[in-house]
Amino acid sequence: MTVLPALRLSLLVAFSATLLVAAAGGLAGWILARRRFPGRDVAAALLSVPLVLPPTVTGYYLLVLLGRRGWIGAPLQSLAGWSIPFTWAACVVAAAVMAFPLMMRAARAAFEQIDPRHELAAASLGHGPLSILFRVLVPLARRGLTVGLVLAFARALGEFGATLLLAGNIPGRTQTLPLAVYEAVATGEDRTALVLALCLTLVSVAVMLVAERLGRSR
Amino acid sequence: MSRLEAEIVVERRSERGGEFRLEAAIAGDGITVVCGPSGAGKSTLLLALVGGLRPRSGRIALDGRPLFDAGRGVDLPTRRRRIGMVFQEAALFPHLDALRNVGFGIRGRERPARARAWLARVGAADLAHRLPSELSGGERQRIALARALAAEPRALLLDEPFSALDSASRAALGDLLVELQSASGIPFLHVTHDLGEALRLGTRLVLLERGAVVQSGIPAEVIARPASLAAARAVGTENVLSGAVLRHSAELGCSEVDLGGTVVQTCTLDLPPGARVTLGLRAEEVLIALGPLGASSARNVLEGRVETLVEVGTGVEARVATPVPLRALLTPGSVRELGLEPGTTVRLVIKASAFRRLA
Amino acid sequence: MALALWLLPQAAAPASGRWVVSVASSLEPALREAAAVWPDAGATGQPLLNAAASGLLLQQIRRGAPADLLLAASPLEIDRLVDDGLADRGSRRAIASNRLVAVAGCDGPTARRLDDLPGAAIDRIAVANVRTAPLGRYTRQALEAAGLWERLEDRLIFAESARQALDYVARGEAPLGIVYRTDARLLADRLCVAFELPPELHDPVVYEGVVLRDATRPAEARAFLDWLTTDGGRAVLARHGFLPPP
Repeated sequence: MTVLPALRLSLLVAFSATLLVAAAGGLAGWILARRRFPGRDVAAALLSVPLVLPPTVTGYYLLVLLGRRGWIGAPLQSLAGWSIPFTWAACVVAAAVMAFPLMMRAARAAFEQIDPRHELAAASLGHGPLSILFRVLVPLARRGLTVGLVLAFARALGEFGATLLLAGNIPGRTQTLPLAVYEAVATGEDRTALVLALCLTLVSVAVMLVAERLGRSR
Repeated sequence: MSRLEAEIVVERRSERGGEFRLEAAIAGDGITVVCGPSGAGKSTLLLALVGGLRPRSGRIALDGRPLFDAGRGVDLPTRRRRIGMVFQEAALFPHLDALRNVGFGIRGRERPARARAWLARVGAADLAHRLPSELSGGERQRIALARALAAEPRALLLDEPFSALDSASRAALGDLLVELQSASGIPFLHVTHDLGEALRLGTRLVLLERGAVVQSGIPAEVIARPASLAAARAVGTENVLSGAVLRHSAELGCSEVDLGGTVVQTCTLDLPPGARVTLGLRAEEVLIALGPLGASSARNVLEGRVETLVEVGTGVEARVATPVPLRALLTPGSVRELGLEPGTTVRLVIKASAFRRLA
Repeated sequence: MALALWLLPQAAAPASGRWVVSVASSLEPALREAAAVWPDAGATGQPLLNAAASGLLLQQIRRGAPADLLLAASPLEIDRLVDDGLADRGSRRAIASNRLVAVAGCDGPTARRLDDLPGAAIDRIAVANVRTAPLGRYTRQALEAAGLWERLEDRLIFAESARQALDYVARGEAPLGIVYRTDARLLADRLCVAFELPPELHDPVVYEGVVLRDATRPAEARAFLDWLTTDGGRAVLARHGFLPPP
């Protein structure tokens, strides 16, 4: 039965990717929001590229980068013996790369909304940048950051194109729910496809409900 | 005793452009008030001192320790400068209650206890668990003062902290401020555009106009004797006069004030005879007449001699010695028609209500 | 995704009178040449080619993708279409056959025989998707028959088609891949054939074609299919490495 393994894998991948993206995207958003620096706009544009490129193109670039002959993949293989493609880590990487710009942009907007005097006040009270980030900026940006996280999770859950290229479609190992749906349709197994699609829908709806609740109570 | 010194040149970011030059030494023996019209650069000054802006050149030192020195490449980040700041609308952290706000800059185990002590010090002990959104403007500023001082800074900057408050709160907080400063012994730099506050709170007054210090000194003196037109503009009132109350006259509805050689009648002042008072008189409210006047409603007709005539914008400012120098604003037409020149004897005609009490 | 599956041939739907051949991806290069040299192209011109794994093509057609002719890499897909009444039984022809080979980079780790695989320093083997590509089925049959499927299962990475499996090996993602012999020729400059899989281990790889019931140009489709079985057609296929049908 393909449903349970795919569901488990999808949830694992989506949560892991969201965790990664929360840190990376939040940090990137913070840096972009802080102050102007030369090349800021270029950096922001480059980091947002996965938003506009077709997922399969992003997947292709990731494969080229992380594959055994890739700029990152080759040293990784020779130094640590690891290869990311075709493992569940590849699913996480693909999902995280696609979800990253969503979190980054939401975080940047949320941080930019904050009154700059709060940062100055906190600094004058002796706090360093990281302390200010976690004690003042993140609490004040809570709502925007939560929105970003939810968007990122949803994107990670539904990731297909880049995952297919980078992780392959290996049942039990890298076949996430969206890939399983694809294969079920491709092999004419309509009932399985329906069950899988419903699974995905239920999880997505649950995520949106949580998001609504979080967005409101804060 | 602490000392804050600064000689800096800052690029001005506002539309007015140009540079901002400041040279000031602020001692910890009282509150130094920085006054000036908006756009004079008061906030720019504070930002540069606290480290939010980098001056193009110059030096800032606190107790002899350089905070910024362009020549030697020193530029301490804000968190290392030990300079506290209080903002116009408190800018308390909205997600923390009063106690946590005050404790934000305190390090160490006894943080809650020390924060509570500071809250009590500013008269806000019962507000400890309220959020800033649940506090009034005056209460918020008390918390803001406590927060800044609890971090034990070596100087405190205040950026128009009372301008959004009603006059009762302003008075109460002003007293608190004076008390806190003398207890702490650190320099307080208080920016305001309200001259009355300068007189009430300040031991020194620095006047800013268009990005430059135009005068500094004891508040009453600076205000009474602006050294230049720029200072006078900064001060906003052309005639600032110090004097003593002589007596009151209930039937006339007036008080008499001796300005040191010239006695004037003002509307009834709520002061005992002998009390010192500072009056403001705007030049445009002073009439000039030649020759004796018939009956008029003006309580003051003062004889004097024209000392100088200076063009100011589209008008002419005449300085007349009565013997106390008073300035009057005239149109060039009037000057011509009356044939006024330095040396001309004239009469100044001033209504009692034109004298406003400044302090 | 179902949308993507059958939208593709929709887009190729002949507006100008061209007709569509859905062809197994391993057969596509040969078909391109065949379509170009087919002497009876005549008024309707060459057909449009829609290439994918045979299993995918089957699903497309089932969902109503417009195609005139299906050329699959195994009789199974054809059987299904005929049983469902979606193809013209009488037009069915076998046109070619193929062999399975193992390919590897010419100077990397390799093996000499199937039995060598478990021990070799080959940590990944690229094979086609067992459920959608006949190549995958044949590979599994062969490995199971050799008693190696369970031992090698963890090392298998599944590509969506023979071409993709080849690409994985060419890229270095997998040191070894099991593909058709005709595929190995495509990257002959970069990849070397390690060994041929004994054909008795799997069902014979027979390419069959059938004209579809909803063809817009059944006559042309049938004519083309028949031509592929003649000497002219066979010559083209042979040039690409295909063997004649058994």
